[in-house]
Amino acid sequence: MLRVYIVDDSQAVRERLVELLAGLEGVEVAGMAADGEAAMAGIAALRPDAVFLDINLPGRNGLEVLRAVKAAPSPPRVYMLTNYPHPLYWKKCMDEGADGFFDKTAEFHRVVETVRELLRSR
Amino acid sequence: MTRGPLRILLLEDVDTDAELAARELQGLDPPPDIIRVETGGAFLAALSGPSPDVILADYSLPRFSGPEALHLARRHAPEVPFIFVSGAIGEEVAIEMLKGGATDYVLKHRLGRLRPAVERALREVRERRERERMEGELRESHEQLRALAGRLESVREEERTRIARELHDELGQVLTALRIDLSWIDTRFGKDNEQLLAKTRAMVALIEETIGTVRRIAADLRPGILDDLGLTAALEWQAMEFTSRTGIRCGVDVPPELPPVAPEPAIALFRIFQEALTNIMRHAGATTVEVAVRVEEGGIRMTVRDNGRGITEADLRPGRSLGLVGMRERARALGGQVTIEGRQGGGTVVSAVVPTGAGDQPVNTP
Repeated sequence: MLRVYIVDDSQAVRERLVELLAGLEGVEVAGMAADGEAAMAGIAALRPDAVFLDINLPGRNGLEVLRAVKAAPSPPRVYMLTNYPHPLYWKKCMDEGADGFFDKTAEFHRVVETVRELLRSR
Repeated sequence: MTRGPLRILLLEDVDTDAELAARELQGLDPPPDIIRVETGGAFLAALSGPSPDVILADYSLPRFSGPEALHLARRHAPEVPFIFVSGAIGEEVAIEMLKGGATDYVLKHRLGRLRPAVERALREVRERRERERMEGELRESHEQLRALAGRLESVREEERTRIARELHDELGQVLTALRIDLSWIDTRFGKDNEQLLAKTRAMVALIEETIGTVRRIAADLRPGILDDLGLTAALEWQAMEFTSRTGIRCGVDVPPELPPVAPEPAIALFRIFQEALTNIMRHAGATTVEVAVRVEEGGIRMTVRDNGRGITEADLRPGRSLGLVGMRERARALGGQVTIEGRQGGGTVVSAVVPTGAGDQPVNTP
């Protein structure tokens, strides 16, 4: 099973992500969080294989979560899923160790593609 | 000015002269209360008490002198008019005394001038006080306006930040959700249904266009980059936007080791940069712009330099451009300043320096 963790402050987006990912064979949504603190705690406790992470979150933002998650030993893959798709954000996230960076609206399909790739590479 | 009698301090050693002076002053309104002293010691003692409204002094006195009295009066009661009442002292001495701070002088053989001289001196004091009061009020109102402008600016900034975030995040999330739902419909029902696919594709295009608009409006209000990535990224972003909009090349030179800048100086510098770019776009006829940021002792300096026609002295005159006033006030509100210099045909340099605001929370520095 590929265990996926979702971080997004919008319930509408979380619900749709879960629906989308849970429908894929071999994928389990291990947990989700709506803010930065909860995300850090949840990811540390559940140790998922992949995280889809929003940048703009209440409290600690996605960049801080990314840095904290990537600082831990054998961290999960982290894919930024954001409505701030500017190249400067992309660069910052890649510098901080993100494994991918998608425009939440225009590149949403990449979530499924990414998960499928991860499943294939296992 | 004073309620009750007019307090007149009279330094005069000759009884008859004192009486004559007192008689001349009878008609004053309010009626005078004359405190007569004859010696330096008594004069000084009188100055140390409640302040007189006018000082009248003889010029030549035994063991004391008019000039000494003037000197003491200037030291202890600089606001009180001082009028010499003397025998002939000569024009040069008279001028010397007026230069030394005496208000007027009246010759003893023309005492008829005494009352008008006192009245005039009192009127001048009243007028000066009134002027000072009005100047004080003007200054105060100026300060209040400035404080109000600063407050409005920061309220506006807070409002813009809030509206930008709400627009971007609330509307953005809903549009994202709709976009995802359309993908879901495509996958579920789109197979072999060209009509449905055409419709959903059109809807997707519309949603993406709307998202683009929402993002643009939000960034115009307040770029999230400034809050999320800090000043350097925000300047880079603004420079890119400017270049893509105007075709004017805009270079950003910021040292990589630039320490985090607190939110207030960061937003001030960012807004000053935007204003400078607006001016360049409208007036400069430039082809390149360079923005450089440097850390200085106690502050951070941003220099925006273009190669346009150069701002003129006339353009810089007060009242010509509210944009320039805005830039200056932004910096001043934080204890910084903005200087703007132009060379004809040699471009314009806007230089803003603001204190880094030690102790404030830095802008998010991921």
